[in-house]
Amino acid sequence: MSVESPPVTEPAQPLLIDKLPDPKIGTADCPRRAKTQIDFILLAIEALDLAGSEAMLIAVRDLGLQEIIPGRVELWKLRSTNPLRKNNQRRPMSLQEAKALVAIACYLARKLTVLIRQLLIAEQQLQDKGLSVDHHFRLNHYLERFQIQFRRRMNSQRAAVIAYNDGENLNELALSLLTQLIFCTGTQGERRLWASLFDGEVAER
Amino acid sequence: MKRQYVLPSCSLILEGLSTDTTEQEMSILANAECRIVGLEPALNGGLEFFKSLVDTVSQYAQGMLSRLPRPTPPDKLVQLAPKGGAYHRLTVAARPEVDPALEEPVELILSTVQLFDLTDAVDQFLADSQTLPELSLQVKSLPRRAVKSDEPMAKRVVPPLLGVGSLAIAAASLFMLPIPEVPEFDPESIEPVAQIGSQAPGTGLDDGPDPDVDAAAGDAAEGVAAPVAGTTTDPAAEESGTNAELSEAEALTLSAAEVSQLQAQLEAELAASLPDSVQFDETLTYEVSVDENGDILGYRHVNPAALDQIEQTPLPALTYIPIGEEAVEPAAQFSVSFAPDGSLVIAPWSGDVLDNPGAQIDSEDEDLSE
Repeated sequence: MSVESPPVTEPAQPLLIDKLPDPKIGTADCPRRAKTQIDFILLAIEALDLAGSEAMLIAVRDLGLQEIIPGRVELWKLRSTNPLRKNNQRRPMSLQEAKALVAIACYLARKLTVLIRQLLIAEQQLQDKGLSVDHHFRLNHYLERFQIQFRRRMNSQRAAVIAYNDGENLNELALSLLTQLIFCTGTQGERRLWASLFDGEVAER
Repeated sequence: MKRQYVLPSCSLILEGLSTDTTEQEMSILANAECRIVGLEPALNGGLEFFKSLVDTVSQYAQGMLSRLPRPTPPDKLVQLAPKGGAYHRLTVAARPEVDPALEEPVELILSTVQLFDLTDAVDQFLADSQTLPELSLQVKSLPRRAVKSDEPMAKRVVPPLLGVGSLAIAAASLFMLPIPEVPEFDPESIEPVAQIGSQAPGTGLDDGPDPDVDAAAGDAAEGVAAPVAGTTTDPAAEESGTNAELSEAEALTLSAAEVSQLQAQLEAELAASLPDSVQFDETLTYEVSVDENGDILGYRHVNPAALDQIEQTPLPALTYIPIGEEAVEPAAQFSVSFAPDGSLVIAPWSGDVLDNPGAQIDSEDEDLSE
């Protein structure tokens, strides 16, 4: 029997996510806000990229995160820890799992950098001219897709979701996620996104 | 020596000196220039200006990411503040002591993309350990105190008060209830119980009437029942109990052949409408009632996952909603389980939660998570 490739030795290099510090939140699990924010960011990525959910699984492999997220089901379970989801999984999200999702989000956001910039510039130009978002095909497409995904997946019984029954509010959320995404594409995207998840949660210095 | 960080709409140029002999590391900053494409003037300054720029931009960017704004402290040389819409106002205070030309504050209006490019230029500089290594990225999450709760005090206080209140009411009303009377024990009346003992040979209970037999049998029954109650909430267990009675009563009107025909019909109908791939990872079990024509009249989840994932099953689409005032009575009830592998199991509804794989899987899940 011929062996086509030499046995793979585990790379000893530390994972990117090991560089993200544990926040001083007094618990090993992510607070509600962090779980919601991560899921929203990933939802925005899916609205930008038609193959977003597939891309997430590829990102898991590319980033060597299979130990934390072994497959599609685990990824789905993790995202469903978002308390606003219809199929909310009442399980905690560990800091390690959250770090993995942050790494995936930034990795995918970087691949979408060009599109994200274009859409933000388009939004700016529409705003300057006093035009509505449906004057820009691609931006409108993103907002529509985000609305559909959001309504399909979020629990409309939750007060925090009811606030988005108004399409205007939901568009505002989608646009603000776009702004968050561009900051994820940066050199320090992971560290910045990670720290932002725990704003208002850490113990006093 | 010179270091440049150039982004599509922003460039940051640092000029300085090296103190080490290899001249690899810039350790003294002579001048920092920050230029935003299309905006005048370029911002210039020494170390004090540059440190302030780095800190203000870094903090403001963090506020953009978390949507919890971080206002720049007013004493900072470089200030950033939102300016309506998607714009940001960057101001540098007047510095006549540095340069007489700077006696007026400088103000630039940045778009979000320009602000991002400025942030990334700063971040690239901070990540560069060869340039002013004493400056590095400082991102800290805001402490609890800095963020006000979204919910008003009244809203936060009500739930615990309601909890305490209802406990008090429950305690008071239960206190009024008389203690249940236990009927006097009469050895004569227990005669038939001896049969239970004889049905279970080898348990050492066939020695005739014994007050312990009843208790033992009762305990044994509870021992079986207790895990059932543990797998689901008590009211649900009770409901399924009454449903079992109902379904038995209703099933009596149909022959066994008719029930199995309805079952086959339901199975075919559900199988034809199953989606190609399913998005759940736990067996979903429902109690489904059908009328004599095989139309689905209603369903009820047995395990919590089944409630959350109802939209993943064809049940809502297939449920028949009677037209007009006349209610259609169910003719039979079935237990329907959708497995994550896409398979379907249908059995006559027994009303016994233990028979439902869904309920057991659920309890295992709970065990795992706790």
